[in-house]
Amino acid sequence: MIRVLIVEDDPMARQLLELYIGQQNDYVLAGSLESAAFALSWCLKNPVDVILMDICTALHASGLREAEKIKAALPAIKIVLITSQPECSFLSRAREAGVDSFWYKNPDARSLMSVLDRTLAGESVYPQATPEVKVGLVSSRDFTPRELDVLRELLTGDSNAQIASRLFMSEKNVRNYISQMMAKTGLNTRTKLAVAADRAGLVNKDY
Amino acid sequence: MRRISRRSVRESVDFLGMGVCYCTRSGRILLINKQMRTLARRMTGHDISNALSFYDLVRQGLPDQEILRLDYGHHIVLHFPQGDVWEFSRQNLRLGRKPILLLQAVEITDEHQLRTQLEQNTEALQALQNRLKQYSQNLQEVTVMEERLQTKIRIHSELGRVLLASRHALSLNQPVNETLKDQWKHTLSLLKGAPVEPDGGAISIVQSAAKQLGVDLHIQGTIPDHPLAAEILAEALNNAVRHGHASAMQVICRTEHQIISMEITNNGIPAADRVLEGGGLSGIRRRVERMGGSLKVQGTPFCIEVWFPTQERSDGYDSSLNRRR
Repeated sequence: MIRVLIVEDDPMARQLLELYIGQQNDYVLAGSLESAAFALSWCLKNPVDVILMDICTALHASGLREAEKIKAALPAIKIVLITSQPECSFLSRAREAGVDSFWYKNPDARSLMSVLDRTLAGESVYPQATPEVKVGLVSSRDFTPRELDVLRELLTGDSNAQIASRLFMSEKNVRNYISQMMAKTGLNTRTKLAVAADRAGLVNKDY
Repeated sequence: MRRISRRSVRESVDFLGMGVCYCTRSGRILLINKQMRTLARRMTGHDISNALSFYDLVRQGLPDQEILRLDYGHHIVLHFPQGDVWEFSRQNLRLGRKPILLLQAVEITDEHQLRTQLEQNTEALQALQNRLKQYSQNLQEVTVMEERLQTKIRIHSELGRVLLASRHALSLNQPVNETLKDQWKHTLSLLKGAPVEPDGGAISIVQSAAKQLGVDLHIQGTIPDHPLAAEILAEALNNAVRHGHASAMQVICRTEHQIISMEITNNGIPAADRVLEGGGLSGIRRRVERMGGSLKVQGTPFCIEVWFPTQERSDGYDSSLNRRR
């Protein structure tokens, strides 16, 4: 039997995942946590084969950061990260952290079970691209990676000078990137741009 | 010694800023000064012939509509078109055995202006209080509406979950099991308006995790549902499990003057005297210090002592736990 740990703070999603696992013959639910903060501790005390872990979890804990720690301490445990957030950096950061597979939440149990089966068979299953969302007049795919870096920092509410120093670029460059994004989205202030990006979930600096 | 003449008395009385008029009980004028004569001329257009008739006129109202009697209770206060304000009064006196009357007029323009300003300020204050009252009523309404909205979201969530589960069961051609039936019953009871259990908050998440990690969590005092408090507890719990292999953790918590203080100990293996703070504890320390608090870690026996203010500093830690997932 394959032992599964579920880490998900949304009760509806968690119960659904528990239901999916409970209905499989070769899988067994080993544990269920609301916050990624306790995932490593739990794995150190309990045998587990695979973790299904959300990225944005309770207590402000990032499933991505916890996955990195688990992979360093217990590399044999397979990890499938799950999220509904279209933040484009999640996919690349998950790969860098050594996360085995990545699944965008949807109510189709078969797609999740297929990702789990393939992951346990040694495959690394990643979606081809981040889901597309709209920000102002344009799609999330119309932003360049550097624009997204600036946008992510813009959400902190910091000044151009502070953003520039964090991204190792000039203040003028930061200003240009912001104007460029305002022009293409049709959002006429930096605040409107930041709010629209935050609402769409395009960038997320917290996790 | 020179004698004071009638004329010098009149002259000195004329120098007074106030209006003065002495008269007999029948109103015959004994002495009137310049200021009172001027006032009488401004009010009636001629000199006073009888002081009592003049005073009656002052008291009962003047034909000149431009001179207004102001509301000062039983005091007689007149507002002249030129902007000056005078208060009139009458006093009974005795001159030897003879009873006489003194009519006085005192200019109170400055005092009146101050009083008007005070009244305006009081009115503004009243308006502010009314707005505040209205705001607090609106706030109550908004809170009630938010609670209702939360309940609706909860019911929506519950219904969605059961629908998904049912769809899943149907797609597998499975018979409807007891769990699903119970879930439908629960959802229907929610729709019928049964009370909805509130979420336990961040502290309850730590309590439930402690149970799952096999750690008895004893809390003395009440831990406020503050995100940083919950994250400190989470870090302490991880520390107790990973490094101390503890089976029990004790928290003593106090909240006084908007400062939360916690003392966290566990029954695990004591750490070396010099506790090396890993990423978790040093991250928490930075956040606590940024809020103006302090964190102390002791190795033997292992103990975390921490305090921090409940209110964030403007440049401090972002406490929003309830971000969109």
